[in-house]
Amino acid sequence: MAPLEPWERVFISEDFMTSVHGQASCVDCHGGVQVADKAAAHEGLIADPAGDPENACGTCHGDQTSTYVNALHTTQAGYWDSFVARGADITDPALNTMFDNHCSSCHASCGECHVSQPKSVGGGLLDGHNFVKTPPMTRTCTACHGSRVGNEYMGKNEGFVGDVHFRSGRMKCTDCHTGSEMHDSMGATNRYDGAETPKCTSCHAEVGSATDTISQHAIHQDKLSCQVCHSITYSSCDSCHVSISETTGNPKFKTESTYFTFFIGKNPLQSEERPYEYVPVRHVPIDPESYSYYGENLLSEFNAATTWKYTTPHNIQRNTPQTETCNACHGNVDIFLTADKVKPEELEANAPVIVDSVPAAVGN
Amino acid sequence: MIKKILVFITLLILIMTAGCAKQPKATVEPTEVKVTRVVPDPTKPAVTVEAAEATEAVVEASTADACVDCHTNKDLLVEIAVEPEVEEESEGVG
Repeated sequence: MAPLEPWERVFISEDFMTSVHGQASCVDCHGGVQVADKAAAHEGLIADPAGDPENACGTCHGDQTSTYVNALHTTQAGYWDSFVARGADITDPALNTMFDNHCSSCHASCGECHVSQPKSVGGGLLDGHNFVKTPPMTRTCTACHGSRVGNEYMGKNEGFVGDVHFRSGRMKCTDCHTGSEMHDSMGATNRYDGAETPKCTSCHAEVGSATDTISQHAIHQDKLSCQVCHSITYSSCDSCHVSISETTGNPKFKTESTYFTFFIGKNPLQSEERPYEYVPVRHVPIDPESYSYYGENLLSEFNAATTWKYTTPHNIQRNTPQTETCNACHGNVDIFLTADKVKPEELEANAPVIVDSVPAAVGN
Repeated sequence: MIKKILVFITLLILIMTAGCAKQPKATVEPTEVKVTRVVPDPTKPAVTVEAAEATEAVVEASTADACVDCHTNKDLLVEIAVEPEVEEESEGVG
């Protein structure tokens, strides 16, 4: 994502002034004072009025804001879900300080998708303050979801091609992840909670049907997630540690390592919606000391949640190493997350995803 | 006398009717109504429906709107806008 010039970040275009949203007074939404002096004018400024979505946007867009206040991009419930899973006390002030310093910037207000770039990447108006109905992919979605999903999808991981939906269809995130999904998480507490949306079969309805000419689909349908066969190598990360800079006082992080993997693990989230026995798994950058700058033992039951997580890599291909032959997977220990590939200190945590017995090779 | 009065009243009515008929229709059209709206409210960048007048209205409004004055002036912003503070000490993939 190309950085914006400082002036460009706050420049208001003439056409915004004639747009519907341009009819409101600046101070009505942003506060501040109507004076020429820059410092005085910005006194009490509310840079992102959509931080209070129901008041700022809900008057006209109540259908969206009424559910968005509880959506995952607003509540960041996924973070809290993972803290709780590892035994954290969510009332602990140290944990909350850590969250406010390092995690809360990933919150996305209405404005951070429809007016400006997200704060986590420095903000800046998208289009002269014009409101953009469909958020631009690289300046909003992958501005935050860039290091894993964005790089996979657009083929930025060296040596690995981008997702076929991007390469061949130039599809944008919003083509699958619709506004309804973004605005309403339907009570989910993390992105793999509840119904599987979007579903590959929403478009590829023939998969597994009587007219499907690919017999492997019917054979593996409820055993494997689509990504097991149709995704390729993706990145995993280890040990992100957060702290405050002694020189600037700003929050900072350090991730120990990032590396490429493709491992099939047991599905730790097996349910009616996700019945698969096997799914790809990705190592997330957590370790028992990730938050130790803020306090001891904040994740008191670290081993209660896996560090290799259910994942849905965004680098889908029709043909992959797994689709070449049956024995690309069957009998191939290298492609499964077996115990020898897990750090000894994480074996207990990852018991739900470690594959003990690899499916036997089949005769061709 | 009554006849004279009736003739006078009739003439008066005819003159008033003719006068009304000659009034420019624009007085009741949105264009003029909106242009008059532009001036008095310094906090709102008023605009008209017609594009040509919209430009004029915006210019008028901006003279009374400090926010718009600055934030639509690229040259001024180039001089005074500052880079946001960027955290540069982090290491690795975020």
